[in-house]
Amino acid sequence: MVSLYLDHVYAGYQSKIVLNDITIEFDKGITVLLGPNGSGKTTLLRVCVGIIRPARGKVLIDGKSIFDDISLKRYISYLPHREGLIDELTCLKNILFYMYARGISDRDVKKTIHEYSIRLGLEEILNRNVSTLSRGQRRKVALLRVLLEDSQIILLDEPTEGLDVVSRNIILDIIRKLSLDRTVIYVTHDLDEALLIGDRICVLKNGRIVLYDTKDNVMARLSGRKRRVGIIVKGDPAPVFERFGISYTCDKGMWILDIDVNTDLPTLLVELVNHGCKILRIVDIYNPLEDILKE
Amino acid sequence: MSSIKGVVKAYVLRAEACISPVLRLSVLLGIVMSTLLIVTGLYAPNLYTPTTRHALYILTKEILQTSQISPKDITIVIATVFEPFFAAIMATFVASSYLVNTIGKDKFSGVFEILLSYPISIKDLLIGLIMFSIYVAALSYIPITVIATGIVVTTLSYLSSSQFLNLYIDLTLLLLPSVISCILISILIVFTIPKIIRVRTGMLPIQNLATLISILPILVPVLVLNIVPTIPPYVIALSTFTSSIVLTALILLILPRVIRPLELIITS
Repeated sequence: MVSLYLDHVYAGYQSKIVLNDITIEFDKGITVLLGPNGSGKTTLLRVCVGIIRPARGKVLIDGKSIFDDISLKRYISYLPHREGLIDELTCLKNILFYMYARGISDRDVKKTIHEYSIRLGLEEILNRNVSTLSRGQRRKVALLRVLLEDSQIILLDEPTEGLDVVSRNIILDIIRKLSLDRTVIYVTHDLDEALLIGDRICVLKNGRIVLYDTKDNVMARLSGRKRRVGIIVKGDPAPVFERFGISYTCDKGMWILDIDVNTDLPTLLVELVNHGCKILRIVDIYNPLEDILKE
Repeated sequence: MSSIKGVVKAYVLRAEACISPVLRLSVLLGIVMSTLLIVTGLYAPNLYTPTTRHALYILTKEILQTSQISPKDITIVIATVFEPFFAAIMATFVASSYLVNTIGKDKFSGVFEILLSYPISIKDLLIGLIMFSIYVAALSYIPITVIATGIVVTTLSYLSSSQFLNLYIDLTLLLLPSVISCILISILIVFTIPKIIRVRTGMLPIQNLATLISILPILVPVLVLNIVPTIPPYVIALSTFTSSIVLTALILLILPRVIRPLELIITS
């Protein structure tokens, strides 16, 4: 296993310091980075992949500084928030562009590209121009590149943003399998997703780590606290709620649900749609995880 | 695959996307502008600005050694002297505007952010970009020059003045390095003062300030040719050749140093 360790890192852009004294070791499994906008999540990823040089501190891969030996970057794959796709090229050529740049020949990826594109539902669009793709399809193509790079350390900046629930679940499933023998750093704004996929939760605030713990410990802190969600739907959702064992009330057309914090809300919504309900509005009335972010 | 070989291979693939748009624009510009330049000289020389008319008068006297100047004589000078400069301006304009646009778009869409996370050095990335730029420059320069040469050869043989073709060929060859220096200036601007990409000049053909700056190595000699026609065109082309070589070497030398802060590439 290749380790990634940040040792008292201070970093930012020009004179503005964004990360303040970050010391963290990322282990095998999925570490979810959570935090409000501007908390330094993306900067932390950029420091980890060696794009932003820290003003102070070290970024070490297997004990060696990534800035002293750029060949260490071969262990890293990075999916930034912007997909980095070239609109004028087809999906396949976009993938090949990055494979060549990374020093991987097309022969090496030929087999895996077929396998992963089927799993991601991309086999039909591989020869289509990227400019014709939807946001979700673009996200999948970008993720396909990361998967083909087959690295030990994978950094993903909101990989499921803009995806429908089915695609999201496929991607989360792939990432979960990858994380069995790899280090995955996963940035998301989605608290549900964080609890669903993360082995460890790391919360950043004002460039500092305010919480870094296993998911089990975070869940233990939340135990006994229910999340309250309001849903407005067309149709009768009650049988689905009952099947999921969720306590509910209905107030002026809005269904108020008290659910466990680890309930997979997107899957519940899919079930509602399959049941024939039309979802009009969802409101997070109270989420105990937000308390942790506020603390 | 070594990193530099891989980056160059990637950028050759990247360049495939420009073949069609760059060729289309170059062929269109080559045919329309070159023909317009010569037809105006032959049938309506008064449409040129007074400065250009004055320059044409002096140059015609010098080159053709004649005091009786006819539209035919003016056309010969336009074809042999102005056409090479004009073709070089068009080629650099197409290449430079396309490059500024493409690199700017790649920067915005996160391409560089991903490439910089790869085990490739800034030097490798720059070599890839320079190869890409030379490819784009060739895509614009070759068709424009071929079309311009065809029009010039036809014009000179129509005017029974093929003996002046050598001057045209000499000037065309001397102006070739300026195309390379212009595209390198484009890369330098995009990576050092990226905000310039967004500045619009208001001049329709050169909407982008970065494009305007990068074509200066060829634009300045054209202005000199117009304003100071007493300097022989060959001398102007020769000094353009020398200055372009020096400029190219200088940019290649400073480029890796000025874009060293990686975060500037992706964040500015």
